[in-house]
Amino acid sequence: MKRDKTSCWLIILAATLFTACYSNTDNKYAAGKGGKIVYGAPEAYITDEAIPPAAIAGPAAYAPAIPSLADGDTVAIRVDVLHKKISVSDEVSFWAWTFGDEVPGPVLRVRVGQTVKFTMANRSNLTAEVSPPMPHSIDFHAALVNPHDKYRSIAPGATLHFQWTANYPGVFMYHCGTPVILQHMIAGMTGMVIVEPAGGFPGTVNRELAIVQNEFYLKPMGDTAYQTDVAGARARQPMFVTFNGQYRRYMQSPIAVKAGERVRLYVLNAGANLTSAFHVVGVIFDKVWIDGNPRNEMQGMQTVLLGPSSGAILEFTVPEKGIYAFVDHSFASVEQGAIGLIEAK
Amino acid sequence: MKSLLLAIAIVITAGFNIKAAAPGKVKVYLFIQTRCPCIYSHKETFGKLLKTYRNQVEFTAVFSDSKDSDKDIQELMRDLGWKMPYVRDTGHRLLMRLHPRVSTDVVLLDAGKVLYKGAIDDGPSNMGMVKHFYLQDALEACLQHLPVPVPSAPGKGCLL
Repeated sequence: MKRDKTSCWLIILAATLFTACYSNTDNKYAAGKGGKIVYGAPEAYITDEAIPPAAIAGPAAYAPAIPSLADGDTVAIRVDVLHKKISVSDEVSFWAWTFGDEVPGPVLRVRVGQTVKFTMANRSNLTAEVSPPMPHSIDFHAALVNPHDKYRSIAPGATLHFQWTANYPGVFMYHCGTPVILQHMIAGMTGMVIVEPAGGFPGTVNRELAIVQNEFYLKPMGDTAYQTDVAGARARQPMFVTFNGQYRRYMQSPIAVKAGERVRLYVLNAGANLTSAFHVVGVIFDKVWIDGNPRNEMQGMQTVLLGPSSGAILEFTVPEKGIYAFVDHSFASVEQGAIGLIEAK
Repeated sequence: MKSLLLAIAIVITAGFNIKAAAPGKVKVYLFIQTRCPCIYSHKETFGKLLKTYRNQVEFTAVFSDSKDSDKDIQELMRDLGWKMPYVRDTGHRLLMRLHPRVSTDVVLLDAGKVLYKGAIDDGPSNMGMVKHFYLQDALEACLQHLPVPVPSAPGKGCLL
């Protein structure tokens, strides 16, 4: 009888400890500020103010780089819209519509619980001689806000200000939401937001890289210039599918790592239309967080399927010295440029 | 002298090949650009207006950007599914006369008098949901010889 009682207490103790442990781990990745979801934000507003020299500010960097987190509960981020000539390959360039200076736009990094004070100037009026000044907007998939208010289109020359609070950890997309959205997206207006859990992502890695996949739909306009091809986009027939905005980027200049290193890839399929089957030749992803949320963990995956606007965090250990190709395993996309190399020395 | 005047008239109207409107007919000028996608926000609304009022109203698309080629213009009109005449206002005569602010702006005239100027509707300001059919309301009023309810509304489009 006494032995039964002791066993019973031991079981209860074990269960309690297990639950406490599990809850503790789970809470690290909880959504919301202090575990409480923050819905909405103050009304957006528009100003007509002087434009600073830099088109981006705050925790923002161009992929594959990932910016450092900013301290504090509030973080200021600026991403201006430009109309800018962008090269997709050595021979193909076009007048893109961009967030910041590149396509895709900058990777932004914030932490769960941080409130983003966002600013965006529409600088399309500064290049009127080559591209018509037009309204633009931004839609953050990481935010819980009224899109009618925050994601409003602003006129050329205007500056938009609004706030949003990061509630869920993950890899999220942002894009222009001004009609025709398809045209704004294929013109280059997409990018990635990384939201870290309040206590950071679990585990330690040696290297972190951001990879944004997107399609370019272009048609010739004269001898060397190209322009966006909306009909091609409707037909889902891209001219290029790229990682970080350039045809076969990282083929001649592979991303350098070391054998045995632990690598974390933040991957986003910005679309606009196609699904990505992301794969790294020679490795298995031992951890995959679907949409970048550690609560959505999968293990031992060869390929990660990402629909347009889907993101993921993939981790692997570099097995040995060598050259590892990363591809969209839908191999037509490889032919169109969705291939890069990681070289382990 | 007559020949000279005729020659001058031909030169003046060369870059501005607009068909003569029926006297007194209500006119709508739509200002658009082939490189500005904003007009697609009004594809349905304006398309319906074209069909509904084509016998009572003279609709004309106005392209004032010199970079707009006839091929691009025809491709855009075909893609929009709109059957309407267009003029190339490369000399900016209509632009200077009517002062639209952005492409997608329309100007409604009755006997040369501007009755309405601005947005076709407010869909772009409401995530695509149209709450105010500005041009349609103005046309209805005009055709019934009533005052136009809203004489202007800001459009969303590319700067002209």
